[in-house]
Amino acid sequence: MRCFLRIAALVVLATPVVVVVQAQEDGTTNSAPLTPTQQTRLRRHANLPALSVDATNAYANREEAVALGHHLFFDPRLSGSGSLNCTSCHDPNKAFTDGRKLAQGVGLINRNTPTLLNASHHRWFYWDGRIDTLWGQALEPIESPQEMNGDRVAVARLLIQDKSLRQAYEKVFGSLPTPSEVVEWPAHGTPRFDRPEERDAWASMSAEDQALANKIFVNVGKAIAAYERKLLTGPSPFDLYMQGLEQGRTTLPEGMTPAAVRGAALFVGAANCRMCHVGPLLSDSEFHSVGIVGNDGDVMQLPGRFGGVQKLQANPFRASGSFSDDATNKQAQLADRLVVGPELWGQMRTPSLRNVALTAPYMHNGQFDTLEEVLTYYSTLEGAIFPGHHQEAILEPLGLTDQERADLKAFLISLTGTPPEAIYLSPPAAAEDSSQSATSSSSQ
Amino acid sequence: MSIGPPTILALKNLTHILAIVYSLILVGAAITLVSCASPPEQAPAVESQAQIKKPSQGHVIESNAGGYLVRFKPRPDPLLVNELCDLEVQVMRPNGSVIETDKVVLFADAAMPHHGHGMNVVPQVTSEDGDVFLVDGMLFHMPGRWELYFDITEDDVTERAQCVVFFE
Repeated sequence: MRCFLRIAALVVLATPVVVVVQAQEDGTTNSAPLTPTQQTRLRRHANLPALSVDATNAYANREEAVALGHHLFFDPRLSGSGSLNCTSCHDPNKAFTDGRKLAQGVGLINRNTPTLLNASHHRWFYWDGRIDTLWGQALEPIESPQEMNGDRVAVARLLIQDKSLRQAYEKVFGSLPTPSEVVEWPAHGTPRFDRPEERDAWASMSAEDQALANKIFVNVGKAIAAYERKLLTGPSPFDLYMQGLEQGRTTLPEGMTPAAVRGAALFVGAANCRMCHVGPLLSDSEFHSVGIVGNDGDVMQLPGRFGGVQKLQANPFRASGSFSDDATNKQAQLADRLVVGPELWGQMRTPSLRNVALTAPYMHNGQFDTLEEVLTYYSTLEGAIFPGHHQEAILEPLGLTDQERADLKAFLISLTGTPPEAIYLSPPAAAEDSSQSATSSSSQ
Repeated sequence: MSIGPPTILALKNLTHILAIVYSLILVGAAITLVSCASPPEQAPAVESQAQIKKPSQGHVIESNAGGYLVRFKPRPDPLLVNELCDLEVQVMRPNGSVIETDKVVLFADAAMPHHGHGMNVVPQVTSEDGDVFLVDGMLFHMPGRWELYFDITEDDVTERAQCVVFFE
């Protein structure tokens, strides 16, 4: 690390040209110098590219699938109690997080809720990367006993029996069986080991019926993923600033302050945040241990990526699994080629820093309420625990001054993009009806 | 995610290399191979060998004990940080003659020694066209200084060729 920094410093110091950005702040002119190296590095973090094709989901870009997924996202009937839906944790009014330290579903979940904004750009999903498809991610909470506690048989039944959902489904995925054809199905069923009663019921179904329920359930995930691919934020002040630099503009766009420019320079310079928060997502979408311990102890209780890899490789909804629409593409093959070893213990996925000002609290356990606290942690690493000498060692206390922390915070705030299209931030009319009827029936 | 082209350097004589990097940056060089102990990329002794068919271009490094030359060409070229990539690799005798892929076993890997970690994936090595290995699925997931390793095993003896790939 030190060697790297020396190399980086040499490159920076060797470059004689400095660009001076003129800006207005509090009625005065300020200058924020960026070296060409800093500009080059920052350019690589600006402007999210167009969303890539998801070969594992043939329906990812179908508008009919988006409409169905939009409905399902807000439909509480996917949950076991009929009272929880995806927005219970991914609230559109809270940047698709819940604002809570730890997520709360049927039970308390030992991780902070990640945002769904721009989530479709990630390579792995969940803090531990236990799944590599957006549609597989959408399915996991539905059946998790701690989250929505629903099950695939009940979900398949819902799609078959609800006239509106049935029509929407058949527009995308083709015909469903009639309600009379599934009358022998149990009310609930899943092969998950942590749902013993539903697992027994699942075992009572024929292989043919299991395959049908699986197919419908997977398509539910693919429709929700199609909707989630719409949850993209637009350009942030930082993006506009970088676009302006490309065009030779020297004024700062709204929301980009001189402090934010100084913070940006630190981000790719002395603070070296770019090592993990790299690229336009401001995340490498890979896994690192940053010394954050569990909430109720001084050891790393969560296995992180160590457990995530093993869950991923056993997950039937992975990109290389039989439910994938392209199990052979290069990205899909990654899951079967992952390194598994003790060095992965406690590693968590690097969160995207886009819109980070909207997604407090922070870290995988929601330990910090504010960006200031996060920056203070990286400045001192006070309380950090690194579990073993086989672990990567890329963190050193940054020793940031008050001014530097304020500048970095200003930069992080400048990463807030414009929200997704408004139509995706509230339930479709039909889903509102479903929600009301579910609430009404559950209260009776 | 497209993160600029890397600089590729031989491991030996880091000070010398840094000076070269500095020079190349100033003239706007995008990608550089510096081989301090092995024949340079354009050495006629290597390029003139008729056996070298593929990769038609690429970087040549000498193994640490001098028993082999390794020519590799990234796909895509240049390499991109945090993007999956492949390498076409030929293993050669010191005189530049290409060794058939069934005569040696090749293992490829990469690491960031200063960070204490390697890649998060294990690339697969297959034979392509009799004298070209394909290293499938390399992922340099962070910017900074990586070391790229080629371990060549022949008759129970393993020898390593290595170089530095620097992702700015």
